[in-house]
Amino acid sequence: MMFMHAPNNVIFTSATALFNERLFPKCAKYKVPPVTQIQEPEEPEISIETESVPDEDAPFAPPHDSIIPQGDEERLHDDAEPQCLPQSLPQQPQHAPGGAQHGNEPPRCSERERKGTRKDGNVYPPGTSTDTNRHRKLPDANSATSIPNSGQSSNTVEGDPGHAKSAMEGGALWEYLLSKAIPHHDELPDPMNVQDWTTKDIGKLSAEDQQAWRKAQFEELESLKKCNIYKLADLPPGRKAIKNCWVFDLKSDGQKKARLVTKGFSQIEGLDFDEIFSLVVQFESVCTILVLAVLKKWKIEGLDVKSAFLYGTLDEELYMEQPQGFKVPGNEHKVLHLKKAIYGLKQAACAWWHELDRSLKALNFSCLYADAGIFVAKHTDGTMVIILAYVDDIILTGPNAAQVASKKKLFMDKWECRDLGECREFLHMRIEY
Amino acid sequence: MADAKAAQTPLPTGYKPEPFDGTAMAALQSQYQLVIGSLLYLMLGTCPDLAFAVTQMAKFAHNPSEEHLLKTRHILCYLAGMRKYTLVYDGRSDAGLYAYCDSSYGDDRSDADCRCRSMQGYYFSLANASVKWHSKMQTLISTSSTMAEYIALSDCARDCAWYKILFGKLRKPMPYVPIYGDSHGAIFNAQNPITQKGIKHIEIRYHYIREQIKKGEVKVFAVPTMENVANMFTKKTAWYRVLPSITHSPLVPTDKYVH
Repeated sequence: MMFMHAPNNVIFTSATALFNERLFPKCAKYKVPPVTQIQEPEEPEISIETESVPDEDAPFAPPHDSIIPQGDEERLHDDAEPQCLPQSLPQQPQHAPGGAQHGNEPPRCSERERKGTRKDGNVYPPGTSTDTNRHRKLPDANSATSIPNSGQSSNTVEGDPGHAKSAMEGGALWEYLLSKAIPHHDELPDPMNVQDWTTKDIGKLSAEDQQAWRKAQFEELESLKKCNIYKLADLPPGRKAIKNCWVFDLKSDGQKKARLVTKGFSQIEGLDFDEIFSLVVQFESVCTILVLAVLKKWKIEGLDVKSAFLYGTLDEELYMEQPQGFKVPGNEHKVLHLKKAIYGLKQAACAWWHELDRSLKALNFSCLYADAGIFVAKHTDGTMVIILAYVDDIILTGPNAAQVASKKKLFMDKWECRDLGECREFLHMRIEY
Repeated sequence: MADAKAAQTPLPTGYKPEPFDGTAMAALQSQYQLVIGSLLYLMLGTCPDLAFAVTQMAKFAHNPSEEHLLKTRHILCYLAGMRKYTLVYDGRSDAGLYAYCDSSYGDDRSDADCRCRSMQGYYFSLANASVKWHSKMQTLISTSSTMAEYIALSDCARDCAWYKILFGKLRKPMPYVPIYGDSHGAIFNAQNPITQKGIKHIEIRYHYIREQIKKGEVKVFAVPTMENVANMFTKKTAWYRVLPSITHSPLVPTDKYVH
């Protein structure tokens, strides 16, 4: 459904948002309708976002495109700054059906039904300004929404935080909120669980350790840069940058390793990713090929592709936030335009599989219908080379050792690999001869 | 758990897993899922003897009780005793692909809704070595043990077809895959396309076995229960007790194995 606001000729469409229809913020003549609330039964298909007064109390609203993809709530914004709208919008006739509705029906206002789902860029009508006050006074907006007993105590806070402080229950609540907002930084991170550390935990370490970890992070960024993974760009209007975080690990030889991973769960299906697939070989295929190899006394060679996911080329246009602690000075607002897949993306494994499939096809391999993880190259003399692939773990085998070696060399020329020689372990299963 | 006292069986004898009525604590649930996840990986990769026990216990992963966690610890104790047993592919035998197939009848009591579904299991050996195993609760209620076995045969035939496709690409095509079952009734019904009163209500897809036999893709033979390797996927007792008279065992102790 569409709705037109006359002064700006801007049309907003939306399929999913719900509205509480009580106030119409902009138009003074419609202000404060009678006490009887107009509670139309909510139609899931209908929603109308109106222009509203630029509210000083409204949270930060990023500049955005006014043409909003239909049915996508993430991208739905009210406009807090009508004056910065692009001027080149299609001019709509004044007698559009939505406009007629605007004239006749009681006005609507855009207060979100569910407060927890409030997003940046949404406009709150003047009536809800206490909400924004609360957000400003309390250190952590999230903790305010996660108060355990919402009944009486949350009402206290709703009015004025000063009241909350003086009241007995409110005081406890205040403490609770403070403790939620400011986590205890006293205890050092557990050195046994390096993999669970966050960037915050690194900040608690001693200066030398911090320096060492920062060096590891820097190395990771260098290697990403070397692979030409991303480039600095402006975020196009209407797009959302994917968040990322650092993952730390201590290798068995004491080497510190930091890895930049994206938070794939913040990707939107259909826009940021399409297909998900991970190339895995079935266990029974592995067992069967191993039995065949033993029966025919074939040699079994192992390979491990280094940082396989970084090779995948992306079909989609993806933007990632700049890594925490490593923002380019002067360009903090910019984002990284991803050209290749990076760890954590939903489509990373799929993109790698496409690359691997293409490169193996170039080497005359074809994947079996029975199992996508088995690739076979048949030669004219009846011999063949078999590859088993489990994401980035590769096993090569075949009747002719020279052919296997030559294919292995060709493969290693294409991808940077760790040569495991005679395969001793595959997917943590030990193979003894 | 590494130096735990070895248990003889994956699950305690006589133990019938029951669903937990209450709500599991989050910590217990995550710990349980961690253990079950590791065991499932072991079972899929190298431990066919765990197949029955792990699939039984994995059913409670969404709402485990202390009792269930205790029983998964029992599986770990059993593993501690089975450390020296491995899959051995020695290439000495020239036996081809054999399939073994078995099912229980209505002994699964853990299902809250209809507490009488059957377990089915099958096992493939290539050159006398285990290459595939499977243990699963059937998706429908069988009215007789013959029907349960017939369904298991049919599911087994589907994997035989998969193997035929695989081997067709890797080497010369196989003539047929022999399936061994221990239910004469099911074998008779699979080989003779007649509609008897006992199985007239079976869904069409389970008659796949008949078509495969008619086309000559598989052949079905009878073996005594004691020699049916798939028996271990429908019982909670240890496989070496279920299968005393087996010619080749799915797992071989490495210390007895001579190179």
